[in-house]
Amino acid sequence: MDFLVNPVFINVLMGVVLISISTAAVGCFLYVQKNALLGETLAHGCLPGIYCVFIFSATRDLLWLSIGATLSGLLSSYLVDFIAAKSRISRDGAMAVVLSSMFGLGIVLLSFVQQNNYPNQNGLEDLFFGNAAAMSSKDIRIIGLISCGIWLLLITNYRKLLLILFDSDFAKFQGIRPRLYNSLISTLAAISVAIGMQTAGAVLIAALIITPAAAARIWCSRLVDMILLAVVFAIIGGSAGTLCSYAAPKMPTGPWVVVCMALIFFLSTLMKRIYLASLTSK
Amino acid sequence: MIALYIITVGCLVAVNGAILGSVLLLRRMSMMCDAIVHAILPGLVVAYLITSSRGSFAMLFGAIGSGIIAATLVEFVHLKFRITREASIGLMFTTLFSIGIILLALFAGQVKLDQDCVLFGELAYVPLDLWITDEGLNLGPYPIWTLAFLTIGVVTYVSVGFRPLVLCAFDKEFARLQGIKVQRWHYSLMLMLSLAAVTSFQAVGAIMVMGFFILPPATAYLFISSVRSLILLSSSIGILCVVSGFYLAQYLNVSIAGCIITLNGFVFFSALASKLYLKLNLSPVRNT
Repeated sequence: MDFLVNPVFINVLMGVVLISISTAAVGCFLYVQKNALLGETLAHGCLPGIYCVFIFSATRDLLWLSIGATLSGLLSSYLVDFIAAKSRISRDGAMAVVLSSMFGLGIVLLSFVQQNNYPNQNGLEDLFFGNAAAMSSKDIRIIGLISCGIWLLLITNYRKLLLILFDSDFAKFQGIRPRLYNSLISTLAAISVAIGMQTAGAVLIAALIITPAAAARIWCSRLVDMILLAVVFAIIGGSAGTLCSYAAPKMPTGPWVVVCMALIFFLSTLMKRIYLASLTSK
Repeated sequence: MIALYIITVGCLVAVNGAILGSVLLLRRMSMMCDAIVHAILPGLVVAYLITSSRGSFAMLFGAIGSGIIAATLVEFVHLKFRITREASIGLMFTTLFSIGIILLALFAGQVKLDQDCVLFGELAYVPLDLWITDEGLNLGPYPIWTLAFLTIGVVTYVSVGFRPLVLCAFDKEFARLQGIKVQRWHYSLMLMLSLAAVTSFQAVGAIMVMGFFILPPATAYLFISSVRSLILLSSSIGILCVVSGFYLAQYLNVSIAGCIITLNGFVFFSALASKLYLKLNLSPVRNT
C-alpha cells in the first residue's frame, strides 16, 4: 500500500477526482437538455484556443491555456446554436460541422507550432490523450478553485436552471431569461472541459461528461438526486481508473478512468434489471 | 508527380465522403460518423495483433467488426436502458476508443500502429507508400488503389440503395410500410461507413475523415434540396477544397489534411453568412 503515500499518485488522484466531480455535475444538466454530445464538440473546439494562446504567449501555464480553451469552446457552442437556429441543418449536423472544422484548425495551428520550432513545445500533443502524471500541485489548486466556482454557480442558480430545463415557457412568465441561463450551462460546460482536457485528453473528456450522468439517470428521476449520484459514480470511477493506471506501468490514466466509468454504467444497469425483476417476482 | 498523388488521394477521400456524408446528413446521423471513426480503433489493434501485418484484409475486417459492434451497442443501450440517443453514442464510442488506447499501451512493443497516425494521418506521406510490382513497374501509391476500390463500392452501394436510404431518411414509417428493411439498411450504412473510415484513415487520419464526410454536404445542403444534386455539389466542393487546400498548405508549410478541413469549414461559414445576407436583402417582403 505504499502508493497511498506517493505524492505523484496523490496529485493525480486529486486532480482526476476534482475534474470528474465538476464534469459530472455539468453533465447532468447537459443530459437533461438532450445535449450530451456538446462535451465532445467543446473538447475539439477548445484546441484552436489553446494553440493560439501558446503561439502568442509561449506559456504552458494551465490557467492561461484554460482561458484560451474556454473562449474557443464558448465560440464553438455559440456557433452550434447559431447554425441550428439559422439554417435547416439539424443540431446534430451543426455539432459535427463545428467539431470537425475546429479540429482541422487546431491541427493546422499545431503543425504551424511544430514547423516553426517554438520553445517549450514538448507535450502539446498530449492534449489529445491527456497526461495526468504531468499535473503539478499548483495545477491541482487551480483545478480545485475552478471546480468550486462551477459548483457555487450551479448551486446558487439551481432553481432557475431547473425551471428553464423543464418548463421554459413558465420560466419566461416568471421573468427568468432562458437564453441567459442556457448560456450559463454552456459556459460552465466549456470551463469544465477546458480544465479537464489536460488530464483526460480531448478525445475522452466527453466520456467524463456523459457516462456518470447516464449511469445516474437509470436510478433517479429528480435532478438533485441525479447530480449527487453522478458525483458519487464519478468519484468511484475516477479513483478506480487512477488506481488501475498506476498499478500497471506506462498505462494512460484517461482511458482507464473512462473504462471504469463505463463499467459502473453497465453494472448499474444490471443492478437495476435485478432490482426490477425482484420487485415483479414478489 | 508527388502533388498529383496527394491530390488524387485527397479527391478520392472527398468523393467518398461527399456521397456517404450526404446520406448521413439527411438521416441526421452526423455524430454517428464521429462515433464510428473513433470506435474502429480497438478492431484495428486486435486485427493487427492477430495477423501482425498492416494494410491487409484483416484490418478491414477488424474495422468493420468493431464499427458494427459499436452501432449495435448504441442502438441496444438506447432502446433497452432508456438512455437518450446522443448519450448512448457518446458513451459507447468513448469506451471503445479507450479500450483501443489501452490495448495499444499494453502491446506497445508489438503494435506498429501509432496513436498519432491513427488520429491525424498525414497526406504528405502518401507518395512514400508506393506499389511496385516484381518486374519493377511503378503502379503508384497503395492508398490510390484501395480508395479507388472503395469509391466503386460506395457508388454501387448508394445507387443500389438510393431509394431505401432516402426514404428511410425522410419517413421511416412510410419506408417500413413499403416493405423496406429499415434496420438492415441502417446497419449496412454503418458497415460502409466503417469501411470508408478504415480505408481513408491511413491517408488523412481518423478524425480528419469526419471533416471530409460532414463539411461539404453541410455546405451544399444550405442551397440544395434534391438528393442527387446534393451529392454532386458536395463532391465538387470537396474536390475544389482538396486542390486549393493542398496548395495553401504548401504555401503556409502546415498540415495538408488540416488545411483542407479548415478551408472546408471556411467555405461552409462563408456560404452560411452569404445565404443569411441574401435572405435579409432579397426577401420579397421587406421588414420596414
